[in-house]
Amino acid sequence: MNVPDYGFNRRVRINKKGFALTLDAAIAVIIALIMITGATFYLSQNSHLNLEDPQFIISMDSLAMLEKNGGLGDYITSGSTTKINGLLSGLPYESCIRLTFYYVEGNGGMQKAGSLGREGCGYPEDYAIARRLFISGGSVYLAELVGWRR
Amino acid sequence: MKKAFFFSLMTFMLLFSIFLFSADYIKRDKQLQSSLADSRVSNKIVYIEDDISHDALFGLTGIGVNSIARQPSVIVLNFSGGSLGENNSAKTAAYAAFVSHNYSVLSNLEISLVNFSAGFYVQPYGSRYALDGNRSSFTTSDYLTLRGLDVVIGVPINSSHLSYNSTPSNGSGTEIRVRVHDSAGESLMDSSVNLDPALQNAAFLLSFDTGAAIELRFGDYGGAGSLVINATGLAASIEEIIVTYDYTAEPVVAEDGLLSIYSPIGKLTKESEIVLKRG
Repeated sequence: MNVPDYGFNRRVRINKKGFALTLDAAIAVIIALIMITGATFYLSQNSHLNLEDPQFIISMDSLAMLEKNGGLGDYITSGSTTKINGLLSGLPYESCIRLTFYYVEGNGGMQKAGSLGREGCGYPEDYAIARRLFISGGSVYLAELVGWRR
Repeated sequence: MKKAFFFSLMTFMLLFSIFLFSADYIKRDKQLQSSLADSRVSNKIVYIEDDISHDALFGLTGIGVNSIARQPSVIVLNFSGGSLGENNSAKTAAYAAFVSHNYSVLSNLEISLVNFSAGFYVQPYGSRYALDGNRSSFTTSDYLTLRGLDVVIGVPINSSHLSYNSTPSNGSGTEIRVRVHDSAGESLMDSSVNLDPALQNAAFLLSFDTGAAIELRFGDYGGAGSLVINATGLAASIEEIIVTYDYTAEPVVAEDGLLSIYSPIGKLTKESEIVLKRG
């Protein structure tokens, strides 16, 4: 005896296909989320590209130049700031420096021997320090240059 | 079904490529950061090396190599020898100690300055100049390469106080010229003789009525081919010593002390001789 179908088997087949498509879409979405989350995580790890600190380079170069052109020695022997002021005037407006001199004693102790800097700079919040040893009159001195941007 | 599977696979591969791209990007970025950090440390080490070795010996003791000149058949070394009568070894030792301890801490580096002394070596001749107290010496292990020595000494005393001077008799061997002048630039001695480097030759001697004296000997004094200068009761300045050697094709280097700098950041080490002059 034939039982009428009324389209029941066809509906079951359609529902099975829909389930598979839904599952496929869900898996695809989950995988996509994992991938995008992973990529976002990696990219968020990218720190700011920390190139050479220009203030530190300026400080080192300034001290090296002042030692080699005799500016540091002149300040100690005669108090002359001509060469140091020449350097200060050549720096960009934003660059501030403070130069401090220390006399190095035979036992390694240090005594402050003078200080000068660019006017109108205020006090630094973020700064770079460079130091340089130099010899004047047979004695050892340490020049300390603090550089910052205003 | 096959079409859906293919579509899913393509989507997965596209997303995976984005994932790989981002991972590679961050890896390269980290490599760049590391290179920049190494570069910064390297710059600092080179700066410190230049700082320590630049004119330290000359500033402390007055010893400085002026030139190493190559001529057709000889090499000529010209240097200033500093002043007698000062405790130069204490000065160089204090400088080396300050650099190795205090300056290391201030620089956040481990700096070691060893064998830094009031003098220098000249290679490949095996020569050594040393200055301490009232005595200075110039020795050469390969003394047969030594053709001549020309010494210029200044004494802070007036020529009117000169009471006696003597010069060794001329022989054969190395040509030794000694010039001594007083504080006004007046010549007290200008003698040139040839002396055997393997013998204990007589001294060039100047005595003053103040009791001061200056004596220069050449020969086997602590080794053949040695030049020894002694000052008594005056701070003589060894203004210039000109050494003439046999020619060598090898590089000639005057150096004093070994500098070693280690940076804990980046774990970089640099070791170098303090080179006063190359020729």
